[in-house]
Formats: sequence, C-alpha cells, structure tokens
Amino acid sequence: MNQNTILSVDGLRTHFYTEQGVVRAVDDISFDVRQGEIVGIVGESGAGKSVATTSILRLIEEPGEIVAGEITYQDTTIVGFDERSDGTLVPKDEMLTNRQMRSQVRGNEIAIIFQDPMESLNPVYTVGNQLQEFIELNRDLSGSAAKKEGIDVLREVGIPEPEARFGDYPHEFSGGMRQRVLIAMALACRPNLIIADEPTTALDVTVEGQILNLVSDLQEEYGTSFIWVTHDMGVVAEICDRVNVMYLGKIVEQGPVDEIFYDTKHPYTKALLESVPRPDRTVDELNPIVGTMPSAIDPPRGCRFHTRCPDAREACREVDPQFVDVSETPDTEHRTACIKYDDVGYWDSVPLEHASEQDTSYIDEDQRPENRDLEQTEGEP
Amino acid sequence: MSDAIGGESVSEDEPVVEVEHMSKYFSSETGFIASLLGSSDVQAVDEVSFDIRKGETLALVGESGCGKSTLARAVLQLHRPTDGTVRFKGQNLTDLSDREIRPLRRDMQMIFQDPHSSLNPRLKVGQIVEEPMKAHDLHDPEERTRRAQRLLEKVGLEAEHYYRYPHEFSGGQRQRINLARAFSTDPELIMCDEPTSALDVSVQAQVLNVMNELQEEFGVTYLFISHDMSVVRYVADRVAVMYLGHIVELAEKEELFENPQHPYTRALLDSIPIPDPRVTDARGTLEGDVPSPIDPPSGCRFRTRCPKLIRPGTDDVDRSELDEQTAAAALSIYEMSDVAWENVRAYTRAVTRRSFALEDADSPAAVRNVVDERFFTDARPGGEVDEVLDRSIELLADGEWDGATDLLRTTFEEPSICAARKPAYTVESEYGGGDHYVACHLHRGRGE
Amino acid sequence: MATTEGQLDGKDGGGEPQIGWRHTFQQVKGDPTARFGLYVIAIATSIAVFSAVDANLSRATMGVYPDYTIGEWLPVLENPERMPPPTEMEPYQPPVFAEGGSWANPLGTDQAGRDYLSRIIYGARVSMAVGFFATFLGLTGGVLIGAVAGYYGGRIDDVLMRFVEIIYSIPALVLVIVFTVFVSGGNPDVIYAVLGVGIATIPVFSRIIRSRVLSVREMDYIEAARAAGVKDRNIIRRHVIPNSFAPVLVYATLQIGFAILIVAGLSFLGYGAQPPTPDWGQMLNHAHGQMHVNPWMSIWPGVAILITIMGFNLFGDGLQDALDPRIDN
Repeated sequence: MNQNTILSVDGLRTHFYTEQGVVRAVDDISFDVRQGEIVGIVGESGAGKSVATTSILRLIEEPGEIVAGEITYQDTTIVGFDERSDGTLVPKDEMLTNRQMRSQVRGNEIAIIFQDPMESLNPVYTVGNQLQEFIELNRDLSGSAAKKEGIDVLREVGIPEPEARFGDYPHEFSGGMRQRVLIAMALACRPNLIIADEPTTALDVTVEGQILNLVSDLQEEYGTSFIWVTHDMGVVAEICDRVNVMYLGKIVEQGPVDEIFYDTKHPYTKALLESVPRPDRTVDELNPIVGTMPSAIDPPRGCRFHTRCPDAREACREVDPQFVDVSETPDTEHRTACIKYDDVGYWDSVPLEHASEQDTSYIDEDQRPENRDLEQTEGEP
Repeated sequence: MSDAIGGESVSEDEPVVEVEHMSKYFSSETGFIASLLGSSDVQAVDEVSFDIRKGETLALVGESGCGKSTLARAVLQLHRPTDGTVRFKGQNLTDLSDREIRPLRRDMQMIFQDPHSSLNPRLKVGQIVEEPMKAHDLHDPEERTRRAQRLLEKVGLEAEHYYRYPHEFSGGQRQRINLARAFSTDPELIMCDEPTSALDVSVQAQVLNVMNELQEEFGVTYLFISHDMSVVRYVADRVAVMYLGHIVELAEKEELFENPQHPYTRALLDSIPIPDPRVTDARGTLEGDVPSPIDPPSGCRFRTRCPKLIRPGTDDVDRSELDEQTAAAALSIYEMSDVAWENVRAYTRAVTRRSFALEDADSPAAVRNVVDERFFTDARPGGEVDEVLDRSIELLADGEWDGATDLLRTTFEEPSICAARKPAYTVESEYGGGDHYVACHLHRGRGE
Repeated sequence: MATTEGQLDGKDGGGEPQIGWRHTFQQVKGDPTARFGLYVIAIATSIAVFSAVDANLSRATMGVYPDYTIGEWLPVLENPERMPPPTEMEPYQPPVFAEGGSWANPLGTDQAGRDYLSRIIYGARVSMAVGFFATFLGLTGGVLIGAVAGYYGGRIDDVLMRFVEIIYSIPALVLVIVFTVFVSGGNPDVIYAVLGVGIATIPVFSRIIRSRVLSVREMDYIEAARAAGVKDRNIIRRHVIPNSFAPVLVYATLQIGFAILIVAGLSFLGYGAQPPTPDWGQMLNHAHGQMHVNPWMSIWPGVAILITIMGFNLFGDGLQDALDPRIDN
C-alpha cells in the first residue's frame, strides 16, 4: 500500500438477493485511491461498476448487501468484518455507524455525482435552495453565508449569471448545466474524494469536453481525488491516472492508464479496446467481442470471461484466476487476473472451441510464467 | 470510383433522395388555445439541401437538439416538411398524400435507437419481422415465414427465434431483430436513428459489422443518424454535420475528419475523448449552450459561440443589409489587431453570460480594472472601439448588465457578416474527389 | 433478468414491463387474495350460467311452478329420509334456522311464496349479465374512442374528448330514464339499465386508455410500424390497443362489480329487471318494506351483492399489482 492512499477497498463483495437467485454484482474486488489522482473504473453495463462505488458510500439498498471485504477511508473503517469462531462474519466494532457515515463521510469527505442529474435534484425546489441547504448542513454556515458560498461555487463551475440562476428550478437548466450544478454541490463541501458515476454519459461531446476541462481545472486547484466510473475508453484515456477494468463483478486488470492501453495484459481489456471505433483514424474492421455478458446470478466457472475470450483454453474453465503482478517496473503496480500469467497450466491446455484462432503473440515471451520469476506469482506451483 | 468525378452520371452516384431547401418548423405550443392565439415556431430544420446516393451511407451528425432526427423523419415524410421538396427515386414526396406515400414505404425502412421500445413486447419476433411484408402484401404466409427466418439467420440470430418474444433477447439481439424487420421488404433506403448508441461498445461493434455485411449484400442505402463521431467514422461514406437546424458542413468522410473546415465541426472533433492516453488532447471546447431554436441567431447560427466570429467592418457587408438598430450601432471602422478582436469577443460573451463577478468594484474605474485584468491583458483596441468598451463599463458599474450586453452585441456581433448573411460555400476537397460544402463565411471568396 | 442486471448498473431498459399476459396470469395465481377473488367470480359465473340451464329452477323462481324448490335437493344429499313433501306457496317463510323455517325453503320464501334461495341463485344470472354487458359496452366504446383520440391527437382528440365530457356530465340514472322513456315508451327493462350504465362508463374507460395511448404512441415500435407503411387501423389494433390495455382491464374488473351495484340500485328504484324476473336489487326493493318483520329478506340479496362485488374487487386489485411494473414479485 502506498503512503498517499486515502481509500482502500479490499476483497469487497456486494450481493443482491433476488428471487431468481443471488446476484453477485461485485465479487471480491480490491483497489485503492491515492491523494490527488483520478482512478477509473471501466467496464460494460452489468460489470458492477456502480455497485462497487455505491458500496464505498454504503448506499446499497435492499435487496443488496455488502457481504464481505474491507473499505478503509484514511483511518476510518467504512466497511469491515470480523470472523467469528463459527465462520460467520460480523461487522467490526470500529465500523462507522449509519449516522456517522451521514454526518462525517458522505458529502464532506466523499461526495458522489450521478449520471442523471435530473434524478439527483428535487424538481420542486430551486437549485439554489438545494445547494444552500446542502452547504448549511455540511459546512455549518449560516443562511446568507451559505447562499454566497453557493453562488460562488456555481460561478466556479461555469454557470452563467449565477445570481439569477440560483433561484431557478432544475428543469430550467440544460443537461450540461444540471451536471455542473451537481458538480458544484459535490465541490461545495470541499470533499477529499469525489465519486463520479458516469457523469458525462448522458451529455453531448462538446458539453462532455467542458465538464472534463472543468474537472481537470478543479482537480489542479484543490487536489481532490476522483473515482471515475465510465464505459468510455476515450474518457479513461483522457483523464484517468490509474484504471481498473471490470468484467462481471470482478476487476480483471488494474494499472496505470498508459500501461492499460499500451501494455494490455488481459484479453478482455484488449478486446474492449479493439471493439471501440476510433475518432482519430479510419479503421476498416472492428473486432467485436463475441456473445453477450452472462448473468451475474450464475456466472461462468473458472475465469468469468472464458465464454467470450478469444484466448480461452480448457484450463480457463477450471481455474479461478488470481491477481498476478505483471509490472515491468516495481513502482507501476500493474496487475491482471488471467491465468496466462500464472503457472497453472494454461499453456499446456487445449484451446476452447470458440477460440480456435488465437493470437497470443502480443504476450512477450518473457512474460510467460515458465520464463518468469515464479516468486512473483501467487498460483499453485 | 476512380474517375467518377465530373463524368457522366455513374449509376452508383445516382441520388436516391434529393432534398432541396427543406424546412421543418414545429409550433412551440400545442393545444386548442395555442392554435387560436398563434405561437412562435421552433425552427427544427431550416432550409437544408443535400442528396443521398445509391448504396452509400450518409451520416448525419450533431448534438442533441440539432435537428438531425427531425430532418431524417422529414425526409421519410414521417413528419411532413413545412417547406421545400424531397424527391425519392425521382418522385416528389412532398406532393403526395399519406395514402399515396404508403406503398412507397416498402422501399424506405427505419431502425431505431432504443432496442427496448422499438419492438412491440406483445408480438412474437416472427410477427414483428413479417409486419412490413404483410403491410405491403408481399408474398404468401409461408413465404413470409421462410423469409423472416432466413433474415433472422442473416442478422446472426437463429430461425427458432421466430417463435420467441422480444423480452427474451438482449439489447444487441433486439437491434438485430430491428435490422431483420427493416430488411424484410428489401428496401432501397434505411434510415438508422442512432442504432447503436444504447449498446455497449463490444455489442455495438457486432451490430455495426452486421449492418455493413447487409449493406454489401443488399446494396441498400443508409441514412445514418448519430451523435458519435467515432461510429460515424467507421460506417459513413459521406458525413453531414448539423448545428441548430442547419447543415454546417458536408463532405466525404476522410475529408471531413482530416480536413474539417467549419469551426463547429472542428470543435466537435476536438472534444471527442480519444481512447489513447498518449494523445494529449487540448479538448478545445466550446463555450456556452446551444441557443434556443425558437429564435435562432441570424445568419450563421453558430456565430454566438464561434471562436472565429468575423470582425465586423470588413468590406463584405453593406450597411444597407443591416437592420436599422444594428446599422445605427455599427461603428464606421473597426480597426484593431486580431488579438484585440479576440479579447473584445471574449469580453462581449462574458458579459452576455455574466460569467464574471464585479465583487466590490462599483466605480467605472474599478470595473475597468477588473475587465482589463481579465480580458485585455495582452492587447487592447483603441479609438472608437475603446469608447464603446468604456460605455459598456459604465453600464456595468451601474449594474446594467442587460444594457451592456445589448450595447456590445449590437456593436460587435450583429454587424458581422456572420450575423448578416447565411453562409453557404463549396470548397475543394483535399481528400477524395467529392464536393465539400461548408457553411462558414471564412470561406467567402474561395467558392460560391 | 435483464431488468435485474440493468438496475444493478444504473442503466435501465426503460420503465416498460416486458411481460406477456401469461406472466401476468402467473402472478395473479401466486397472489392468494387475487386467487380468492377469482374463485368467487368463477363460482358466481358458473351459478349464473347453470341456473339458466335448469328450466325447472327458472320456472320455480318465476313462481310458475310452485311445487319445485331447490331445497328439495340439498338435504337429500345428506339424509334422503328428510325429503320434504311438496309445499304450498306460502309467503314470508323464515329461513331454515329460524323458528318455523324448513329445509324445503332454506332461505325462506318471498312475498309471493317463491323459494328465496332459488331466486337468489337465479338473480346471479341477471346481476352477472348486467355487470358483464354494461362493462363490455363501456369498455368497447371507451377503448375505441380513447385509442383513436389518443393515437391521432390534435383536432380529432379535441372533438372526441369534448364529446366524452358531455357524456360524463350526465348521471347514469338520467341516461337510464331517458332510454326507458324515449326508447321503450316508459316500460322499464333491465336492458335499458345496462345501456345507461354502459354508456355512462364510456368516459372513464376512454380517459384511462387515452392517457396510456399517449405514452404508447411515443414508443418506437409505433413509429416503426408507420415507417414500414402499416395502416393506421392496423397500428391501433395490433400495437396501440394491446399495449394500452392493462390498466383498462384492471378498471374493467372493478367496474363489473360497480355496474352490478348500480343496476341493483336501479332495480331497487324500479328501473332494472322487472318482476317476475328475480334480481337482487329488485328483491331488496320488495324486502325493504318488510325490514322489521322479515329482516332476512333484505339480508340475503345484500350478502349476495357484497360477496360478488368483493370477488371482483379482490381480483381487480391483484391484477393491478400483477400489471404494475414497480411491484414485481
């Protein structure tokens, strides 16, 4: 763990108990966030990105439940479990109560921005009203001081005529402006960490560009950390420092953004990158990922991606891949959960039917486990 | 396609659709009372002209509210155009009644954005795919079934899916069903309204590939509506960029992406995040919001946000072209350096948007300081222009933001050629041979 | 399943429940209250249907064939010895458990000495028919008007909805009186009650379906059908009505109970079924004068009405839950 780490998530599992079965929306994920960086969580719909981030704020609602794992923010335990002698997990004593979460963490330490600003703003109150109340609540300011602060924040995020707009209702703002209001709200209490859950997905590109610029500026000014949830590899490349790629409730690859794009290790990340059309050059043929994402109720055994993976072999069906450190240098911390990089028999096993044409040439010879220092890997000998 | 340029009409270039000066206005309020009182119109599409050639994919891109969907629906006569003509295979659709158009719909089908709402949940897939054939009385029932099943296989589903209900399918599979339905009557033209924007990237690629294969096999023409420039770059042959009801630029794909001429197209291309962390993108983004289509800016509709708004006082505009108020406000000369003009423009827009605060500055001198510090650090205009700035600063010091806005806009924006005349120019392409249409006065003198 | 995944990722496939009627039926079956309602309706309906088949019963209830009572058959099943002799037509007999009652007329007899149980059972026929037909009339008229108004909008919508509002402003009773007076020349009959109640419910049905159609009309599959060249008539029939029908169906089940009640009330006032045809409302009418002497005479038809309407309401509630996308069990 790094010194500057402000949030660490370790072995988090969040499950939903539905009538069809247990949805393992987030199933054993670990990542951390350091001071002043933007950490991306990227994946397709159904990957569990949003569940992961709402778990951090303990905003998971029935029938969902955080069933295991540890979330530590600075020195406070947001989620933590002790194992009893009979094997059941009970919440730790030092875990924050719901009241403490509300008063100490949400809003003033960690803020969240959602994809749909219309759902986050109450349509019957003015924007100013909501902003002011939020500031009064979280920053202990009196009415007029809170109002002034609110107007300042609105101006800061680029709302024109902030004094006049303060009294407007949410529906009188355009989509981009509403998202700015939400960012203003998140910023108003000077949080240390902002979780942005697809905040630009519903916006037009030029507006998205404005918001991304705004976020970069604000981050520079205040050194706020971000967790940026998105499905857009472009946005990831644009603003993230480090990236976690999620597939079906698991993180399959994590590392610095440059390595994720230029030294891609996991076949899913690679496939995802190849299936994105490029705005900057004309591609003749896209390589889609075959099939659709399986259900999180009954995920495939072994590696969850093996049913669609172009590189899948027999062993992928059996072995549950562990995180393997594939860093080129000691300080990059590039990890991936693919048994190609683990010594558990991938290379000796037979390719699966759908994956007959395999191109594994992009994996360097020295990356193959038989050629690597085995002490680094966590698999069975 | 090598020597198609300028030659006698090559069959591939034959237009399937010709649109001339087409407009579509909506009444901004509906209902009985509003129709009596009369209401201002929303100019969703205003005087656009273009054609779609046989077998090509023409992409219509733009941001939400730019009128691309309305335009496409007006072409298909799903919304009747307010003005102008639309010819489909030589026949003027705007002259025909709904009843007369119905048989022609066999040749123009449609694919939708939302895979959930585009299929009737109470019908089986087979019934859905067969519906267009049934509507046009094509084939007998057995042949329809056979055809539907064959189409399902063609789009990458299975013949047995004929008997299933839509809710049993994922988003990507539903878009395939949509495709099968659209192709069932063997149409000439298919209008695709953001067909992949509701899908995940990996699935999007699957659907786009199927669309390409079908186009190759059936030789169909696509009118492809999208807000996603990346997708457009993958599928289109030619691209039309729309802004607030106007087509601002239309060119062949390579030309448009590599040699964009309209400032809006450039801004649009610049704001797309590129999936490559090593491309450090300036994200040179636009300021402000799209103006209301109820009372759109005169001339070039992009001028209120354009980073290249042309300095007034150039010789292109005759004073008689301006309305009285503007002519009165216009200065006799606008002499200043380009940098100074940029500053004036930024200041005008900042005042319009009230994007800066005057905190404690209440005397003209104090306001002048704030303004100078913020907008005129490097270059400042002199003479008459500066006098106008002074007057605006006095208004600001009195808290008269609206007055200052009016003054600045009538002096610096309205007399510009961008506000006085609607631009339409054709320039030479650098990539490929086709025409490059660009609606921007920066190209005046370079074409017509 | 798709919804579960969608919800988890914050992306939803839209509020439209992607379910078929079969799914709805499964849900109703799984809901005990709705199931109970369904049983009541089924029993009431079969009584109504079978009572019409038995000619003897029919005649007995009319008072034409006094020797026959349904009471003859009930004790026989338990104890053949207790078979009573044919009785004279004796008015105002008390029910079997009261003093002076007999198994021959388990619920007693009415003012003309007719067997009360037979009349209650036979009355189900009239009530159920009235409920179904009045509702069917309102539903058909309402759905047609509402669907057309909602689908086309504009001027057509304005004209149709103003027309519906005019109907809405006339009370059902006035409509019934108008029909009775102007169509039959003043001879009241249950058919006019049905007509009046049916027409009076058209506005509610048309409003319900219209509001649904307004949202269904915006669905892409409607535009897809239009773009494909499907005729408006077929679009309304195949796409608009089936997808707007759910709330109407819920309302219709509730409305059947309500129509039974209204027609019972009209019969009570003398505008419904005419003697000697037995009808619950009309029976109440005759009974209310006897309230102090023979209270049972008022109670039996009341109980019959109560149970039937409760059955429809319970079923309607269950159906509503089953069709509501927010309550998905």
